[in-house]
Amino acid sequence: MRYRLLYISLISVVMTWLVACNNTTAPSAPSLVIDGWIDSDGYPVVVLTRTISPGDSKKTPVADCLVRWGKVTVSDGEREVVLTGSSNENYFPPYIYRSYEMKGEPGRTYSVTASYDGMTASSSCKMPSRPRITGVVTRKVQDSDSLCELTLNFVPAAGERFYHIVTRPYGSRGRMLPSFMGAVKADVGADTVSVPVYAPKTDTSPDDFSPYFKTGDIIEVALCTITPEVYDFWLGYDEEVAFGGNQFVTSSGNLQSNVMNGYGVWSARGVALHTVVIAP
Amino acid sequence: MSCVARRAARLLLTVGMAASGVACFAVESRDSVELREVEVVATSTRTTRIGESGALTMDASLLGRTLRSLGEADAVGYLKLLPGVSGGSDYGSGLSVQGGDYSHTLFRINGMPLFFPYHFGGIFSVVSPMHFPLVKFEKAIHDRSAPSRLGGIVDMSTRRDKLESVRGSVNIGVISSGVSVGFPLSNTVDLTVTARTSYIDRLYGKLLKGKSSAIYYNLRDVCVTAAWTPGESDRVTADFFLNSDNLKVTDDAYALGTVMKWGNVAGSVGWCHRLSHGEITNTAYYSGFNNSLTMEMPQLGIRMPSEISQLSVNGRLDLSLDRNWRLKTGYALMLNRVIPQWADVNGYSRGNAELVKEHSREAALFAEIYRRVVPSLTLSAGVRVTGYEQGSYGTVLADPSVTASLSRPWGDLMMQVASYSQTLHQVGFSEIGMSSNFWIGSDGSLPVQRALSAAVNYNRSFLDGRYTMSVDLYYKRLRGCSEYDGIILGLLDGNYQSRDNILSGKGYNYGADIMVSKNFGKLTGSAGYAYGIARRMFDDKTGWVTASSELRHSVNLWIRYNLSTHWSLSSVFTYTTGRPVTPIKAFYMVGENVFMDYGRRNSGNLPAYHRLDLSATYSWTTRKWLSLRHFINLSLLNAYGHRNVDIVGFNYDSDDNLFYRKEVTSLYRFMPSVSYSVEF
Repeated sequence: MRYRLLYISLISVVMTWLVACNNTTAPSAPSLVIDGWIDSDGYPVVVLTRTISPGDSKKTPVADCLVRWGKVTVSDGEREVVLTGSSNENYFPPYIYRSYEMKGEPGRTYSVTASYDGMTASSSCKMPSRPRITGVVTRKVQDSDSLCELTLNFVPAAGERFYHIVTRPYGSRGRMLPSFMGAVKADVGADTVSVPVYAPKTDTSPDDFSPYFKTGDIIEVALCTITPEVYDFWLGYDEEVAFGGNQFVTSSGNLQSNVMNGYGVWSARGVALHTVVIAP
Repeated sequence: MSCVARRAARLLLTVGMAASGVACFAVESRDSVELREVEVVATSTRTTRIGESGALTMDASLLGRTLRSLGEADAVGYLKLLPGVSGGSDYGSGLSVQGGDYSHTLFRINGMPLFFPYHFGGIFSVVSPMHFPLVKFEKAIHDRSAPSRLGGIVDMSTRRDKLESVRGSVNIGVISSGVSVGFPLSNTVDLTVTARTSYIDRLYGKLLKGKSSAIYYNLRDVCVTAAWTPGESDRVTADFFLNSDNLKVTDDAYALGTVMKWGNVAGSVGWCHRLSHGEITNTAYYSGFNNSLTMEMPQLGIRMPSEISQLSVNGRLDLSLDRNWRLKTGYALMLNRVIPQWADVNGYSRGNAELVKEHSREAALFAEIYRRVVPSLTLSAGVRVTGYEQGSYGTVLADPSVTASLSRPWGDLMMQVASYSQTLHQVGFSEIGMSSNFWIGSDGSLPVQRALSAAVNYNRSFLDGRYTMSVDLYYKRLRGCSEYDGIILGLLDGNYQSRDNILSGKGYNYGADIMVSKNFGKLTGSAGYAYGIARRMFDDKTGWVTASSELRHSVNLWIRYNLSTHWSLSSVFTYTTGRPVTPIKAFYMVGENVFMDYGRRNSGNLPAYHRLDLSATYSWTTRKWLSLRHFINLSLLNAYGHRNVDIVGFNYDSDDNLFYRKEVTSLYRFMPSVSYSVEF
């Protein structure tokens, strides 16, 4: 009996020791996340949130990531404007900072600084020149009467290789969302480039993802010239969105952010806009 | 048991058990009659043995009578029950031995290597135990004839005895069926043919379908072995092996289809000649492996093919010079042709990377001399010298070793300090050893992998071999270990070169394994525990990190109970520390998608993995016109349905407007199977 108790105790200690080796999360202090942009002939917009540390709870309300009382400033090297925060249901999370006092111009460098609750994050980005869209071709998807696929043809901006495609339904007051696989690198010296345009894939959409567009819809397609640092971010973004969670592929790790002391991306974009009616 | 003698005589046959657990037979003649030859043939119910060299040998076909995975006997599955041996993940395929990378482990069938001996998800290996029942497994201690690998060696082979009549087996399972037939073509030639095919989608299709995803999979493998025995001293064998696997995974939520096809094709001719005091073996083989991973989405397809093939001639002389001296020497010549992973992209105008064929050459000479200092102590020293060349890169590698073997009443002890080299690397997108990981040869930018190894093996038998204990201690210092650092979308770049995405670094593994077995009686089984540390450093920025292959603690219990002559029950319980993963420090949202902020590389672990597999076998014999032995096996994998976690992440639930923790769990949950097999 004495030995049996000893064995049970020993086994219990060993099993506790083994179980103790279990940590898939390593919570860290929250940091600011900047998801912001300023377009050529457009105004600065920043969706400012903060990171959420995984706690014991398996569920976390979205409100926990919102930053409602932060201070966000944008500078073009000569002027600095303070962005105003407001609720906006057209965005997700539904709170944004924006200003109509500064308009984007290619060639200028724009810096953003966000601060909240002792945290400060900043970034700087030069706005490249605009590309030129030569056409958007719609084609009926095989075996479907209601879906079309898009191909975008464009002439790269002089000396620029890095682009990002964003889209939204025409008339929407929300943001233009990153197109699925929307980061594009043009070959050096390419005269024209032809790339597929996919619908955005987001975790916030309740529907299964379809990369096609519905016949009859009107879609705004924006082709944005971006800097190499911003391209690296969106390429990593695309990799995670397309292949994250795939058992065949190990995660590529953290996104390469151009934000200092924070996460996300700040982008100054040279934008060419095209509106297309989806029809075969 | 049968005895064959040239002359009738009264004999006293004594059967004993050596300390190593190997049966010993002594024949004594009461009339002092000299016998020219005595042959004793015995069939043991014992399935595993540990030899004096520390190598473990097992009879996989005997093990397959009790333990089965989805109706299939699997030698590699049994190896995973050994302490210090890990399969990584239920989704993965690979065998990590004592913290080594999967590619450090060498698999051979009748002496020829297989570069990827697995079917999907590690459900079972491509090598049928019906054809290759004999498995010899060495963890860390190898002689100098061991080829260019840093880790464990798994040698699977056909039986060496001559077939006197038709022999074989048929296995009918719920996911696959196979047949193996061996028969004498003449007095000197035997032929054994084994084939297996699957129909996993038919019965398990629903289990493999998720809310929006589905998996389609089939496999087949074929083995042919011909053996020619022209005399008592010679045996010539010819082998052919082929396997082909097709896997398709669709996920509507991602609009992404993943197709993976892989297969090995191998053939060899070997000649073994017995000398009066030794043996000489020469083998020529070809072994090839190809894999194609295709990811398809609308308007875009990425096919990532890779290949490796090896042509080799090698020979070995094992000679006892006198009672105290023994020599092992030989050579190996190898030609490797490798197509590293490249991208064939459709529907995207970024240009295709070019297919590159790389050729490398390797020549090795080795010699090891053994000296029995006293009857209980043998010392050996040897060296393997390898010349390697790929393109303009060339190097000469010397791998010396010193080994001591001590056999005393308190047990057998073997110690080795040795250097090992490996000229081939295997890297890729998968951390759990999938076939998409590609092979690539060393060159100036990717140095040869080297290991300095110190290992101790101790074996002891108790109570006349009823119980055995085995203990391994090891320390291995690694240089030139490799890791892939690329991303899938990097393949779309027309300038993609696989070598640009491989990191080279260093590392070390150390640990201890212990296993205790009960070998006789109605209740048999084994209990094993392993403790291991494996660390790697690929650049100064990340510093030392835990290797993906580290398995800190593992416990395996295997029990078999013979209820009667017909019924036997077996059970396997596995408990391991969760696989090393990079922990999630935080998550955040950009562009309406949730992303993780990961912490220090592999500094966390998945939740502990544990699983109980149960199995019952009913066997009986019929002797109408052919003596047949029938087995019906019922197996239940993961009997208590534990959800072993394989991937952890965070996502957004649009219905409840919440972020939630998302866990992808193992394929195996209450996975039942039934199989019928018959041996003749």
